[in-house]
Amino acid sequence: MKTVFRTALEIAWADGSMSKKGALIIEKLHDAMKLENSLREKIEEEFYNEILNSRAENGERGEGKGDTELESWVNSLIDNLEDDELEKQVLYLSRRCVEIGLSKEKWLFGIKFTKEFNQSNTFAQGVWMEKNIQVEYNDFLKILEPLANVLNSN
Amino acid sequence: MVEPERVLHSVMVIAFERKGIIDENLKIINAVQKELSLGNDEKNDALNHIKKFRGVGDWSGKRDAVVSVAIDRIEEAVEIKLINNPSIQNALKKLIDVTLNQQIPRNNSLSAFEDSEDDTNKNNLQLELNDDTEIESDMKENNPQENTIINKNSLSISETDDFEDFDEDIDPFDLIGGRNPINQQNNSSTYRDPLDELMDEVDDEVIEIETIELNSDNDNKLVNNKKNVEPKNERLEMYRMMLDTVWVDDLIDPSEVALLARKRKELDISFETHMKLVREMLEDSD
Repeated sequence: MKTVFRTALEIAWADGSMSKKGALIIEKLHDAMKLENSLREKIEEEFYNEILNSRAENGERGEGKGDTELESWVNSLIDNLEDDELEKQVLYLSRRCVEIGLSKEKWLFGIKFTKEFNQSNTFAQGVWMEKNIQVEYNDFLKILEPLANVLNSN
Repeated sequence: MVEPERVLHSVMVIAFERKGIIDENLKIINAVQKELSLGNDEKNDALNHIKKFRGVGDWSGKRDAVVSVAIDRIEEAVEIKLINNPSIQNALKKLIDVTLNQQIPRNNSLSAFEDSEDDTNKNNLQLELNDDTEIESDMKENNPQENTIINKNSLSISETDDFEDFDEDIDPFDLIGGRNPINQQNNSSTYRDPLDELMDEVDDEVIEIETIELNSDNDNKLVNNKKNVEPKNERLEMYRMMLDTVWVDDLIDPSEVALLARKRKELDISFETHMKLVREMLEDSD
């Protein structure tokens, strides 16, 4: 269950190295998400410990070719972040996941996932019925697809 | 819709409180477990939760609130036919009635010290939770084809001669006032919902202020006054207890979320406070 910024790091470091262009795209995403520095530090620390550390020990090096895929992925996400539908879809997803039964694990993931782009309060308001939305959605913005997949899974 | 796991949990709460000890082998529990098609894992989850929070039976001083919520859930399960076996429905209704009867304060404040066992037997329906041989006759009549299940699993109930005086049609929620507090003034029962009881301490004072100083019929103002005077810690503890029960089976559902949303309004608990309590609860469970 990966969050947006964690996924971005994995794409950027896909072949074992991150290019300068990749690093700039990561910064662009960071700004667009309005990601808190403390949270980013935590995500990067986890990524280092779980992925990069072992790669460094194994002497793995790449050419930073992940930047091409990262660029197109991040551009579509930035559009999503500016979309008025984002908040509505987060509200819908949060309401829907309660209807099908929300576990503690999914609750924690939902909060963690949406916190990266400042929608965790919206998610919580939807879950706890502080806010409601009448619209139904079958398809979701790309940025929300991983969240939808997790919340709808058994 | 209330989850089957939570219904079983509620039945266990009421049955244990009735018996005074935790006994997971009570027939009513096994009957409800089978009726709800729940396995032993679900039963054990509920049991562990009860063991964790019941303490010596006072539920950290919130016994009445816990019992009230449990009754609410059982009632809902019967209403929506989650529990469809008339025998079990009947047994649960009686268990609830007896539980509520037990909670009704006596007129004589010394009567609690004066009750003998004989007196208790005369006044109350007896629920023999452990008797394997006694089968309630009207349970059979209600659903003869279910006799096998009843014989194996049902709660055994015997009646005293005075049982006929017991009003079968009485709504337990009329007694506890959970659904319509306004009617409580006309109810002969003095039992009050624990949430209302918390507010009762300041009720007269608030009404007096309302009459003399404000001379207003604005109910909202009156409710707000009560909330302000009510001890905040009591309200938070009450809410925390309810919050803790909703994730007993690791899943929350809309009916529980709706219940909590209603209680937040009633107890004047902000969403921020709610979120803080959720975080604390999850940290505790880790």
